[in-house]
Amino acid sequence: MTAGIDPALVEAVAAALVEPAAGLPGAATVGIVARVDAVLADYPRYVDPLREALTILAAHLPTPGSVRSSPRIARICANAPGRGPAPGDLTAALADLERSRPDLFVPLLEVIVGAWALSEPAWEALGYAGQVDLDPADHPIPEEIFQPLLARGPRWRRPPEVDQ
Amino acid sequence: VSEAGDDAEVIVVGSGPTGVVVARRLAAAGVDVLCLEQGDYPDESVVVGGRRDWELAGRGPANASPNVRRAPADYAIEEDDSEMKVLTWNGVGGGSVMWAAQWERFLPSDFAVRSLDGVADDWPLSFKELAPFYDRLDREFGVAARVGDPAFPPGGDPAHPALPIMPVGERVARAHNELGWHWWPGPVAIGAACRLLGVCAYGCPHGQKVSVDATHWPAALAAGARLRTGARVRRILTERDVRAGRGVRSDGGPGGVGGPGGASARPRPNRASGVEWVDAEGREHVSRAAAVVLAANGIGTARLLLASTGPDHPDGLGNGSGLVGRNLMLHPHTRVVGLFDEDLGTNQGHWGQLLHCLEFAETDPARGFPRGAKWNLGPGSGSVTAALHPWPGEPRWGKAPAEHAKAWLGRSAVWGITADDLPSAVNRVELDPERTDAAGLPLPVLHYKIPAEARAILDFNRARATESFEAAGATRVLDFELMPGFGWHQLGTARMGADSSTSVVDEWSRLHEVPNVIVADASVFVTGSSLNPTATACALALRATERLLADRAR
Repeated sequence: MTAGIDPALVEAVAAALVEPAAGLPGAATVGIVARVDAVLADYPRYVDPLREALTILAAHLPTPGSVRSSPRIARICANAPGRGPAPGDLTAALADLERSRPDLFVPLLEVIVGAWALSEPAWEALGYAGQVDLDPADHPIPEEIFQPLLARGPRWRRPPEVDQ
Repeated sequence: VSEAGDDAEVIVVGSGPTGVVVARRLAAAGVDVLCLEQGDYPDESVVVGGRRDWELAGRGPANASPNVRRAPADYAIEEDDSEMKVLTWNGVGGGSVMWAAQWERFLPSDFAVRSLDGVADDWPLSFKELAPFYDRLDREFGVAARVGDPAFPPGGDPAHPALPIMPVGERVARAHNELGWHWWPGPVAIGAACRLLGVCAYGCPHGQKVSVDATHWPAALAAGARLRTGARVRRILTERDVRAGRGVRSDGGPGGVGGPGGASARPRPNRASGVEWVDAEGREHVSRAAAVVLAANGIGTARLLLASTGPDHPDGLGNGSGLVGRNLMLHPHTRVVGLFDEDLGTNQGHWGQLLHCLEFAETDPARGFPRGAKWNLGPGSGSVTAALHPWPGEPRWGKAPAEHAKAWLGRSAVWGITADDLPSAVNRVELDPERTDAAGLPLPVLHYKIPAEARAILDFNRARATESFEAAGATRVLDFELMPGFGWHQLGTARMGADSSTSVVDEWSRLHEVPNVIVADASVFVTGSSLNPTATACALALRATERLLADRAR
C-alpha cells in the first residue's frame, strides 16, 4: 500500500462509502485496497488528502459488534494498533467530513468510488464492458423522422441585410 | 535577447483553433509566420480517452479548469467574483484538446441583435459576409453534419455526413416531432471514422476528433509555419518601445504586412513592432514582427493587451476606448438529465451533441426576455462518472454510488443548455495589481455576474428541456438552475465595431488604434449568441487573415 496509508482504514472506510445496492457489490467485496493503491499510483495528487481524511476518520472506526461492521472489518478494527474503544460511528464521521472538509472528502470519494467503479465485479454486475468501438454504419438515422421537422419550414429570423 | 530566427513577418500568440487557422493560411501564402505558445503539446496525461480510467484522469491532470489542473503552462485565474468558472487548456491545440468539437454557425439574427431585438449592438458584419468562411472551414475542420437544418439559411459544405444520433437521440427527435419542436443532428468537427466511443473531450484514441495539435498543426508546419512552445508572451511592443530602447530594431521589423504604420502625431502608439516573451527556462526574448495576431482566448488576449503598457498608453495597448477586458461573456450553462428505465446504451456515441435544438434560440417577445438558448443532447457517461455523479442535493455515498451507477450507466442523457448572455461593461477581465505568473505577467481577475435576462433564459429552457425528456419517455428528470463550472466560452473582451470609441477592433479584427495587431479569437464578439463560438471565431480569424494578405499584396 502507498506509504503512510493504512490498508485496514481504507477497507473500512470504503465499505461505508460504497455499500452493496441495486444488485451491485459494495467496495468491501471487490478487493478495494489493491484497486485504491493502483489509483494512487496513477494519481499521486490524491495521496495527501486521502491520508489526512483517513487520519481524521480513524478515530471513528466502528468497534466489533457495531451495527455497520462486517465481520471482516470488525476483525480489522479490533487488530488496528493504537485504537481504543471508540466513538465508533463512522457514518456520522463521514457525514461530518463531507460537511466540514469537502477539500478532503471529495478526493476521498473520488478515489474510493472511482476504484470501485473501475473494478471488474462492478462492471460485471452492471453489464458494462467499458467504452467499445461501434460502427456508425450500424446506426443509420431513419430518414422518415426528418419529415415532420422539415414540413414546418425555416426557423431562422431574417435580418435586414440577409437576402438569402 | 532574441535568438536567431525568432523574428518573423507575423507573430501569432496562441496555437489553438484560431491560431492555427491564421498560421496555416499565412504560411500557405508564403508569409514567414511564427506562433508563440505558452504550453507544450498535450501528452498522455491529458489525452486519456483510450484509458480505462479516463474519467478519473479528467478530474485531475486532464481537468479542463486551469485552476484545478495547475499544470506548468497554466496561469491562475482569480474567479472569486465570477458566477461562472473558466475552462480552457493552455498548450498546443488550445481548447480543442478538451472540447467536444461542437461546430456551430451563428444564426443570422446573432449579428443583428440591436436591429431585431433592440438590445446590445449589431455586429459590423453579417452572417452572409461570414458564410463563405464558414463553408471553407467546414472542409478544413472535417465537419460531420447534415445540410438542410431549418434553423439556418440554406448552405453549408460539410466534409462528412452527420454522425449517428444513437437510440436516445432518435427517441428525443421523435418526441420533438410530437411537440413540434426543432431538432437536428448536431454538427461536429469529428471524422467519419468515429467509433462512437463517447470519450471525445478526453482525447479520441482513433484521432477522429479535431484536436488541432494533431489534426492541423502538422499541415501548418509543413507549409512553413514555425511553432515555439513554452513561450509565454508578456507584452506587445510598439515602435515607441523601440525608440525607448527596449531592444527592438528601430525600423520596426521586416515589414510587409499590417495596417498603416510610420510616425504618428497621435498621443497613443499606433503600430506594434513585436513581442516580448519568456521561455520555459525563464529567459527573456524579444521577437520582432510586422504584424501581431492575438489568439489567446477572451481572457488571455485581454490580459496581454492590458499588460502591454507604456508611458503613452498606461492603460494597455489599443485601449483608448477603455473597453479592453470589458463586456466579458461566459455563456451561462446548465444541464437537464433524463433517466430512462431501459438501457439505451447512452454511454456510447460522439460526446458533444448527438442532436442540437434551436427551438428556443431566437427571441420570442411572448417569453418576456430577449434572446434564447441552444441545447445540445449529449450521451451519458462511463461507470466512474455514473457512480460519482454529484447531482446537487442527492446523497453521494453509502448505497448511492451503486444506485447511481445502475440508474445512470447506459440510461442517462443530458441536455446541455447554453444561454446567450448579453454584453455588459461591468463584466470584465482586469489585471491583478500584485500577483503575477512565473513570467511576470499579472494574473487575470474576473468580475462576472450573470445577466438577469440570461438567468430567465436558463429558467425557461430547463423547464422546456424537462418536457422534452418527459415526452421522450424518461422516467426521471433532474435539473439545476446553473452549472457554474462550465465557462468554456470566453467572449467579448475586445469587441468589434465601426466606432473606435465604443469598440476595440474594427470589422477586420484589427485594433482601431494599432491596426497591425489583429485579434483572432472570440474576444472580438459583439454579442455572444447561444451557439458554440469556435466556428465563428475561426471564420472571423480566416476573414481577417485574408484581409491581411490582401493588404500585403498591395
